[in-house]
Amino acid sequence: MTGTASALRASGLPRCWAVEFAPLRSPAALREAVRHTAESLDRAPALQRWGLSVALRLFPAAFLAVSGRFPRSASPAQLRAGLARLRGVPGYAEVLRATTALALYGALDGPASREALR
Amino acid sequence: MSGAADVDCDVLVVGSGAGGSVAARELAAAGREVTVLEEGPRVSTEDLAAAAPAESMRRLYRNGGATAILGTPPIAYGEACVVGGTTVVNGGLLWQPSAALLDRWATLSGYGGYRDDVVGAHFARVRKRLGMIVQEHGDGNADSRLLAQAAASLGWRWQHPQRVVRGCRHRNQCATGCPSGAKQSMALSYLPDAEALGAVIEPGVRVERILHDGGGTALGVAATGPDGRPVRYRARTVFVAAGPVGTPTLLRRSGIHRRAAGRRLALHLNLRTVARFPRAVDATRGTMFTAQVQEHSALGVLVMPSNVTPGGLGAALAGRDPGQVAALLAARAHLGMFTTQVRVQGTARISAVLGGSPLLRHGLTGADHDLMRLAFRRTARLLFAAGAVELLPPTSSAPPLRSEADAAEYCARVRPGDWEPVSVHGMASCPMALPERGGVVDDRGRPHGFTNLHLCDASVLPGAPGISPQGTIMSYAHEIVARHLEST
Repeated sequence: MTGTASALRASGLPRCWAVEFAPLRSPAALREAVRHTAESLDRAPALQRWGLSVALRLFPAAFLAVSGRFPRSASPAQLRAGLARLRGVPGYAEVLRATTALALYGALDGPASREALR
Repeated sequence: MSGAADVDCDVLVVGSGAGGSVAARELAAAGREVTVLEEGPRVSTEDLAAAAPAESMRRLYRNGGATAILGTPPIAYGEACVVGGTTVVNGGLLWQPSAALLDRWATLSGYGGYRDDVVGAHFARVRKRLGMIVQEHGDGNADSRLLAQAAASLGWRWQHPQRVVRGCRHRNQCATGCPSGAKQSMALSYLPDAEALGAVIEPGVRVERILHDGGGTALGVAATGPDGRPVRYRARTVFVAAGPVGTPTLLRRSGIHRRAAGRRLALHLNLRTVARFPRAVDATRGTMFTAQVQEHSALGVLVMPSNVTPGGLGAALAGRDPGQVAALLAARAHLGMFTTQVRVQGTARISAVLGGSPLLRHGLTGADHDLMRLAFRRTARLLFAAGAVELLPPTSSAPPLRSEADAAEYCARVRPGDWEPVSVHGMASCPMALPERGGVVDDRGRPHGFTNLHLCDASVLPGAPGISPQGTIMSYAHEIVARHLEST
C-alpha cells in the first residue's frame, strides 16, 4: 500500500464512501476505489498533491468540527449528515467531489469491469 | 548537469503525439536520423486490451488525468502522456479546418502561407494515410441515433463523424485506448512508419530543458532517462511537440520566450449533461459517438454523445446527492451522457512553473458564460426533442431539469463558478504569428530568433479551431517539416 493509500484509509474517507455509495460497499470495490484514488493522487502535480494530502489529513478534524464525531466512530446516519454539511464547506466540497469521482471511477471501471467489456 | 551521459543525434523530436509523430515520420522519410523522446510509456494494443479503463487512465494520462486549470470555475484538463500522445486516448476524429478559419488565422497572424490550398493538401495526405472513414451508426449507439433524429426533427444540421479507424469494433473504450487496434493512433500509424524508416523512439525520457547558446541556436536537450539518470542529447536540429501545455512549459524552463510562451492557452470546454430516457438506450454499447450536431458550429458550439462507462458516469455524478447517484447508477441503461463543446474566448495561461510543473489559471469572460448558457439551452432543447425526460446539467448543485422551461430557469440562475467543465483540447500557447501580433514562432515553427529549433504541435495553432484539432495539428506539422526540409 502506498503512503497516499495509507493516508486515505487513515482519514476515514473510504468508510464514508462505503456508507454513501452502494457500488463501493464490497471489500473488492472499496479496495479498487482506494487504489485508484491514491494512485491518481500520487500522479497529480506537486501543488495539487500537497493540497489534497493536507485536506485528507485534516479530514477527521473537519468532520469532527461539523458533526461532533470522528468519521471512524460515527454511525452511518451521522456520517451521512456530517458529509452533507462538509459538502457545503468551501474547499471541502471540491475535495469531496474530486475524491468521490476518483473512487467511483476506480471501482466501477476497475479490473472487475474488464470481463464485462470483452 | 555534470555526470550526464552524452548522446549525439542528427534530429531530435520531443514528444510523439499528433505533431511529433508527423515530424518523426517525415524527417525519417527524408533520410534524417531521427530520435524521438517521449516522456510516457509505450503500450501495445495487447496492453490496452488487458488493462481495465481505470488502470489505463492512470497509466496513459498526464497527472493521472487530474490536471487542474484554476479559476472560476476550475477546469479539469486531460491530455495523454504516452507514446502516440493524445491520439491514443481521443476519439480518432479527423476534421479539416475550413478555408474561412484559415483565412482568419492568416489575417490575425500576419502569415499567409497556411491557407486552404496548403493545409488542405496536407490534410488530404493525412486522411488517406490514416484511412479516414465516415463513422455510421452500428448496432449500438442508440444515444447517437436519438440525437440525430432530434436534430432532424428540429431542422438542425448534424453529421456522422469522420474518424481514422479501421474496422472499429465498437468497444466503447476510445478514451482509455482502443483495445482492438482499430483506431489509427500515432502509435499504430506514423510512429511505426517512422521506425521502419530508421527513427528511434525512446519512451520514458523526460526532457528537462532545451540547451541553447543564447544566440538562437539549439544545441540539444537535457533529459532524465527511464532509470532516473541525466542524459544530454546533442542534436543539429530540435523539433518540440510536447503538447499545448508541455511545449510552453519546456520553453520557459529553458529560458526561451519566457514571458510569451504559455501566456495564452486557447481552450474548447466540454459541458457534460446526463440525460434520462424513458426506454433503455444502453449507451455503453457502441463506439464513442456516431452523430455530431453542428447547427451552432458558427458559434463554436458542437453537441455529441460521449463514451459512457459505469465509472465515467459515476465520476460525472460524484458531486450530487449520494441517494440520487445510487438511483441514477441503478437506472444507467436509461442514461446517456452528452458533451456540449464550446469554443471560449477567454484563455488560460501558465501563471508559474513550480518544481518544473506548470500552474495553470484561466480567465473566462462574461461572454463565455453567456455562450455556455446559450449552448446549454440549445443542448437541452435537442435532448428533450430526442425524448429525454430528465436532464442533469453540468452543475452538481442544480436539480434535475424536466422541461425546456426548467432549462431556461437553470440558465438564468447559473453563476460562472457553478459550471463543472472539462477540457481535452488546448491550443495556441505558442502561436504562429508575427512578433508584434503576439506570436512566439515564425511560419517555419521556429521560436522567433532561433534557427534550428522548431515547434510543431497544438501550441503553434493561431487559435482554437472549434473542431477536434488533430487534423489541423497534423496538417500544420506537415507544413512546418516540409518548410524545414526545403530550406536544408
